[in-house]
Amino acid sequence: MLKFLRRNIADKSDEELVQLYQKGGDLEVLGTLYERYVELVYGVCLKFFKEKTKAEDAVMAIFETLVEKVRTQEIRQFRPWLHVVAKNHCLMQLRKKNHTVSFDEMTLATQAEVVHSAGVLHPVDVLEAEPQQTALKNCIEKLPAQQRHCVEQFYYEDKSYKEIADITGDALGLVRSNIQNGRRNLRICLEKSGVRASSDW
Amino acid sequence: MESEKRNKSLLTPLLRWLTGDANRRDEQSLDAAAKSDPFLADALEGYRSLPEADHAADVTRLKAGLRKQTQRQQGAGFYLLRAAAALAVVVVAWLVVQQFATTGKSPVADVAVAPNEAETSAAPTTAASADSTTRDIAAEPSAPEQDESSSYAFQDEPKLSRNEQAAPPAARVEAPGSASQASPKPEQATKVADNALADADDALNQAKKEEIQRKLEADEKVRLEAEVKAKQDATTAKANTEAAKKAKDTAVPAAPAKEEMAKASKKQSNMANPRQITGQVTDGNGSPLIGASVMASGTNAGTVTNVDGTYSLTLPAGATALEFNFTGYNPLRVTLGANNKVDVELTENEASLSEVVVTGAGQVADEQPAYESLQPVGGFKQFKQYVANNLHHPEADKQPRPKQVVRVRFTLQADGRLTDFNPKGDAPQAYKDEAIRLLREGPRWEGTTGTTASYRFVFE
Repeated sequence: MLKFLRRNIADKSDEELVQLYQKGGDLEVLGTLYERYVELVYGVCLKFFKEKTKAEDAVMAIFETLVEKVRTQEIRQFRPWLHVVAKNHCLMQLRKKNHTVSFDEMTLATQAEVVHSAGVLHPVDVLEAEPQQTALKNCIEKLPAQQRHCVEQFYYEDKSYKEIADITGDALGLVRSNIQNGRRNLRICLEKSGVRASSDW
Repeated sequence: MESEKRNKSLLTPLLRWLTGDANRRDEQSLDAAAKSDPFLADALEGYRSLPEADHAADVTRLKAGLRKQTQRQQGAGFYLLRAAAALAVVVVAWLVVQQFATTGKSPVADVAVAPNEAETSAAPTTAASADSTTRDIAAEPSAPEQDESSSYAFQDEPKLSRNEQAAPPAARVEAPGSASQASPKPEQATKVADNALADADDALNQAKKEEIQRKLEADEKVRLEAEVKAKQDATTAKANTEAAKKAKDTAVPAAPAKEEMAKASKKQSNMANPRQITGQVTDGNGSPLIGASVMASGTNAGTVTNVDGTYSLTLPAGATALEFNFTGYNPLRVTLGANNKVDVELTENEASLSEVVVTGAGQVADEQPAYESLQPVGGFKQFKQYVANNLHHPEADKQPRPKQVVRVRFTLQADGRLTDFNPKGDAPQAYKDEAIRLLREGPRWEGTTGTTASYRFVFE
């Protein structure tokens, strides 16, 4: 019975689930709906808190606010609505200044580190012309060995993060970090050498 | 519907990205999608701000936690609560029967007495009172916003309606009726108990509301307004607790019981028994690690260490171990004993150390760790020590000794030995030879056979 119900729920659209929950108040329905967006919501929370624990707490806290909000508010499209709810929740939490001083400092430090996430940067793909390719090659050569290795594997050999991690024996996170940082360094280096292929990066 | 389709098509690359299965194409399609999708763009930005974290595991844990919360009432605990409540009600029914037998009042009048009786006798049984409290809150028109206990209370709503079905008005009349006969038959006992449970709840609600109403009417008008508002908008459960506290002053038997119930329900939502763990996280040299994460295993509770490496974490129920994490260090899991002070020392993640910097005669200095794909058997620390002990500076007699940097590329063979040495740099050949000698005569290496890597030697 329960299994049947669950399968039934899983097939429904977001908006159907919203209606179902508004009628019955069944938390399982709401949970199913929210679970579809846990990846996105968690990512948003990470963006604001820059820290796993706080972001995870926020994901659960947001769910608790949904228990009431979804029942009482008119929701035409759940996805964009949830985005706004999640963002607002994080901003409110940050405004409450729950953070200790030392943590604030850390957050600032991290922000300086993550400038690269601001834009979409794939210089390796954007550049095609010959002189630009040469500049790119020079810049790749200049990358720290670990970043260069990862960037080459990722962009020239189409390897996935996991495959690169397997090859190198490194943690997945380190590979991800190397590719991100390598990409940022490439962009900076290319800009210095006067190459600008597109406004995208 | 459209948004959902969109979500499904977007989540796949995002999931692949989180698990590390994504390649260049996935990454690009994600970035392209993010341009027109602010939700995804924000999420990606968040994940990329912590590239080294194991996001996939965190998401899995979050989903599990979410399921646990939404399906809590199906667990064994819920049935245990119900069983305890039923037991309590049987006792109550017995008391009611006794009261009928002794006072001989009209059944109608006694129904009003019963709920009070029920409350007082149910109060000692925390489980029973917790159960009825949650159901009581669920009976309110709507739950207060951002209130923990009330959000859980919603789960009980469907159950409540089922309960009501099990106790239709006709049956309710029957309950006091059969009780007044003062001869409870065994097979009727459970039925009486069931009905009494529904009755008690019903009347309890009624009595409580009246209680609050009466008290509030006696109070200033402001209070009354607040109460009406609370009923209409259901602003906060705190109002209820406040009212319960006030009701307590009137010394009505229901009041203490109610407060206890409120406590019990709070307990239930907090899963209490708080235990505070404190301690310090240090590195191998005893220096504090700032911003290391401390998590109670299997829960969402966690904190980070502060400037002096210390932390303090209130342990949620069920947590038996702590997990310590810090970038560049090996994660550590500590099973908790009786001690509430847990100091740990994290060891450096050796795989991220690869650069070998040799200074002076046999002095090894740490430098910015760099990545490499292989590692010497025994780890890099040991390897550095080996280099320090065996290095011969080719121009050791010059004053000052020249500084030279040699990077040697090499390939790993199946037997763990290195081959294809290719030294780079402007250093004289003697330095290159020395670097190659150290690699060739050094410990065996582990990694994927055929992998090429390079190492940097600094001669000072």
